[in-house]
Amino acid sequence: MNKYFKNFSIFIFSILVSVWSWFPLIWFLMVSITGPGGIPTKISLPSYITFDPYIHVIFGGYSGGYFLKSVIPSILDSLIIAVMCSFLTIIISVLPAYAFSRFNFMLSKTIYNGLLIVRMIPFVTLVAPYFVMFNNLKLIDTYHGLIFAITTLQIPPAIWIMRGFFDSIPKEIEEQAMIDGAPLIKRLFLILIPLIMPGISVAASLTFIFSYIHYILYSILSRGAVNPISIRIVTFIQEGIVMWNEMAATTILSMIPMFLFLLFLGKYFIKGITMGAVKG
Amino acid sequence: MKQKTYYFLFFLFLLPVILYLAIFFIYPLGLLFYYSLTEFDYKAKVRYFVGLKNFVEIFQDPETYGYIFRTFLYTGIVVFLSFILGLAYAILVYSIKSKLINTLLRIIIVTPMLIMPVAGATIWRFLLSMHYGWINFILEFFGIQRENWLLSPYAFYWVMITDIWGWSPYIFLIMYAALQQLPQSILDASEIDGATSTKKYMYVIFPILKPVMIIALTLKTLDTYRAFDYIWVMTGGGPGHSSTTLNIITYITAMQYLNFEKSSAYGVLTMLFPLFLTLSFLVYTRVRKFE
Amino acid sequence: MSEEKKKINRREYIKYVGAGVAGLAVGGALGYLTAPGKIEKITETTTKTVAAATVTQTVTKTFEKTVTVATSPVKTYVGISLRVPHMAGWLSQAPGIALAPEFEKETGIKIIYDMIAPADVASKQWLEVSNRTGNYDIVTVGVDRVHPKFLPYCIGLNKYIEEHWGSIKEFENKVFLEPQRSAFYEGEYRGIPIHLNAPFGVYRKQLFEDPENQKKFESTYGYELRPPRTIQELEDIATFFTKPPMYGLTGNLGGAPIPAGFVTFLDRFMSAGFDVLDKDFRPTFKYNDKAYEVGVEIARWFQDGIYKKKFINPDAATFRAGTMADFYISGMAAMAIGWCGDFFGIRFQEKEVVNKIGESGDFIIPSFRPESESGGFASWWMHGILDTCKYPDAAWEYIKWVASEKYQLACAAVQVPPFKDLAEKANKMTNPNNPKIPLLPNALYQAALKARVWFYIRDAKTNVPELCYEPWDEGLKLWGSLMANQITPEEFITKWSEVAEATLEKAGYYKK
Repeated sequence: MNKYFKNFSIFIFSILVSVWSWFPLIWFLMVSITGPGGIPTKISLPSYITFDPYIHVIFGGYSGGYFLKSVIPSILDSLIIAVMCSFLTIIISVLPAYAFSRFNFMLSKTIYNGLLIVRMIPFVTLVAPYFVMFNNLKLIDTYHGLIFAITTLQIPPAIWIMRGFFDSIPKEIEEQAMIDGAPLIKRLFLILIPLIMPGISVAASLTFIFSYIHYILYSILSRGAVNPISIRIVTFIQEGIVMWNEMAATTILSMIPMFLFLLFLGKYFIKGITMGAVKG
Repeated sequence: MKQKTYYFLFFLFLLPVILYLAIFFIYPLGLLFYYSLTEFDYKAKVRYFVGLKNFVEIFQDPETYGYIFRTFLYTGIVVFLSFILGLAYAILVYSIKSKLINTLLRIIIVTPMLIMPVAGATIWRFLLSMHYGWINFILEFFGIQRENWLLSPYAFYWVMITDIWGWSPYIFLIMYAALQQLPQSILDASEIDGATSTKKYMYVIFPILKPVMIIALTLKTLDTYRAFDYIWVMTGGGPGHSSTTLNIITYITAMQYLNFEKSSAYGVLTMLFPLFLTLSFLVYTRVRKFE
Repeated sequence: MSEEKKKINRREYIKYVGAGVAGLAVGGALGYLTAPGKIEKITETTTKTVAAATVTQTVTKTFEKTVTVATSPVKTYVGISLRVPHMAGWLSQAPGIALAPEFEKETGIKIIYDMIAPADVASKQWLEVSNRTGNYDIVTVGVDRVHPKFLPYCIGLNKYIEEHWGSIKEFENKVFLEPQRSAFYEGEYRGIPIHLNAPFGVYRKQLFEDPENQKKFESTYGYELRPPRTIQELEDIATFFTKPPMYGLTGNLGGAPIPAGFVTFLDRFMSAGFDVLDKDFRPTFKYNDKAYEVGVEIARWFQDGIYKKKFINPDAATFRAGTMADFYISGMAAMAIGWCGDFFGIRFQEKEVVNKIGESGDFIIPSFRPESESGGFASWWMHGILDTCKYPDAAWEYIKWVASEKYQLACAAVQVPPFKDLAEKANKMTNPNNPKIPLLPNALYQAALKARVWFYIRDAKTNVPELCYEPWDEGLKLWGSLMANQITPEEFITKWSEVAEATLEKAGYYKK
């Protein structure tokens, strides 16, 4: 294929993909820097620009007759929960992922597929059991309560993803290390896990994102002390007033930590490649 | 390695997960099954056993089959298109050599997944409205008549489009990480052998990626099977029942009818249905093998 | 790792699978044994005399074994906090809630609010209440769908009512009685109202007072241009002002999951003089020809208004109150009918809005059967005291405060004070944002005076709480289909009757 044609088509596709991914967000961005009367109705810029929504949402203020509290504490709450969830999930899931990858007999297959069930439950059916259980364990409205709840749901995908990456590492590498006399633990931690880094960062990213945007379980398991941002955003939509501008500003703000986290993890993508290049 | 040490090691590795899931999953699951077999009399404030009554009710309701059908329809279409799109994203970004554009494009692609589904669905809802919405403007440009899409028979499909928009970055992340893990040696070898781009992908890369693809597909299928946020905020299951899936009716029964018992029954049904399908499929293939 | 094939022999496999099944069985059994929900039904009357020279309080409590009554002759409390769930961001209650620090200073009772997102208000409180967690002391529930289920868990308030208002009769005279009836359960009132709202209409004065428009209208329709008094006038005026993209009429007509549209329908149906059930609890749509006729007429009027005659803007079929107000403020509608109470008092009087679309006036939504004096749909919320509350007296202090003039008049710009004397007062005061209009708009006041709760069946003299669940939800769904032009008005009415009848049959209302 002609090289120029290839570059050109890549260019076109990139533009299309960018427009497709971002045009709803552009609308939201515009809504966030204007007031209620300035929401663009045609494909145009807002009729006037004001940063009031951001000011109200970051520092708290009156909007439409109603007093808004700052959303920054909520974003921090969500961040804490999300980071701890990723952490906890990875720690719990690495060893099982290795186990499933290397020990491949019928029972292990059964359990591995049995993890399917955890992923098949609609969240809303967990509401009542979790509520009762967490209430008895006094975990309601605590950070660790929410973290435990979300981690449960994220363990199967983390195990699967990491197992897939473990699978794709050729057995020769491990055999080589065995011949060199490395015991299991050393093999695992010094060689395999670094090789798995892209897999771990993928699992961590997905867990992070998922715990950040989750809504249903948070709404039931929190009672005011813990305020994840996903709940805060929902409260902007009401029967009486939909605070579009503030909601847009909050959404934009809430995405910043996620971007930062993902970029931070992105470093490991590169690390993983270089590791692979050395080994391969 | 002796067989006994073998098993011991295996279970040792699994111990943390099994313990964790036993507390936070098996127990609530038990509660779930228990609730689904009971009813709660709010006047007498007593929960009593009714056996399979909830399930019988569910199956006697003619709408249930519609819910099941729509759940599978939604899952099928969304998973298929999301997967293709996510894979396309991954190949596209992988083909870009410039690190700057690569990073930039990765950020752009991942963005839809970072928007809270509630916010994203609200945006799309607004964009699809009759007078305000941009989508109608764009469609008018292509000669399609303006319509209130979320009230039309196509509402369900628009929700699917939003879901694909929102979650294809999920596939992208997994597949891109897998592409990055490809050993350079094999790629170089294939190029030396004179393979063109397409051939390289078809015969070298995809086979290596197959296990990861299967994992991505499985995860996406299970997630889409439980898809809730986008559907609920955009159409609420409407108009009528035309976009109500099993998950939606489970939510409505719990949160709006305040009937957590019947909702648990729906939940059990939602879980068991694919299990039942998978088991029958497995049995079928096993049986065929022996013939 | 070696390449040996690990063959498990069958026996070992069965052992492991058996262990797994046993584990599940154990888990299930654990769940069954430890799940709460078994509360014994005991009726016990305890009389507790707390201290010398204090009141002996007789409290009859059913369904609870232990009774703790904190009685104190002094009005201030020390070290007591009440946990009150509330709906987050509720404009109508926000001014009152903002006054809570004053209450805390006066009485020493600390109020801890749990602001719940609107969609979860019902379910979250229900989880807490039905599982008897005792985490809330007061419930905040509304008439749209929720509170019937909560009534058995709230203590009877008759004693407190008599203490504060003098007698039950006095209370019934002061309160808007029709909606209050829905809080009556097993001989006592179990809730005190905190919020009342009714649908009414608003119109843009500058359009109506424009001489050009007046001339043109009168020459076309033969009567002068003024706020509509009949349905035909409403239609005429709406048609007159419709020049797309501007429309004569908008409303909050959204279907599921939005309640507003179905409520608009019920509001017109009830104001035409009907209840949804007759004295035998049968749907009037099915068993009363006149009800059927007017039901179909109302449904058709709205549906044709959007699709055939096109005097209602098409997006109204998805509107909730907020989006309707946005549309109205953008100047694209001459009139709006629905839950205008949330906006009329404050938002529509804001300078920016008045600069953009001029002043707004209010009008009573015309009835489809003007000869009937019946009221329409009342949105009504109450506070109840849960029987798990340890300090019902303190909780009563709070509720008294919410029902008091201070709280209610603070909120009166965006809701109706649920007590007749306070409502009258609010109607006589002027709106601080616009001294030309009353604090409580006339149309809203008039509508509220007659409005009633839709599941209180007058002919049967009782509440039918079962209507609040499946029939309500089916109503929202069917209305959504109607607004999507997918079903006919006749189908809407008939299908709803079927669902209502099936639900009530299952609940045992029809003794064959």
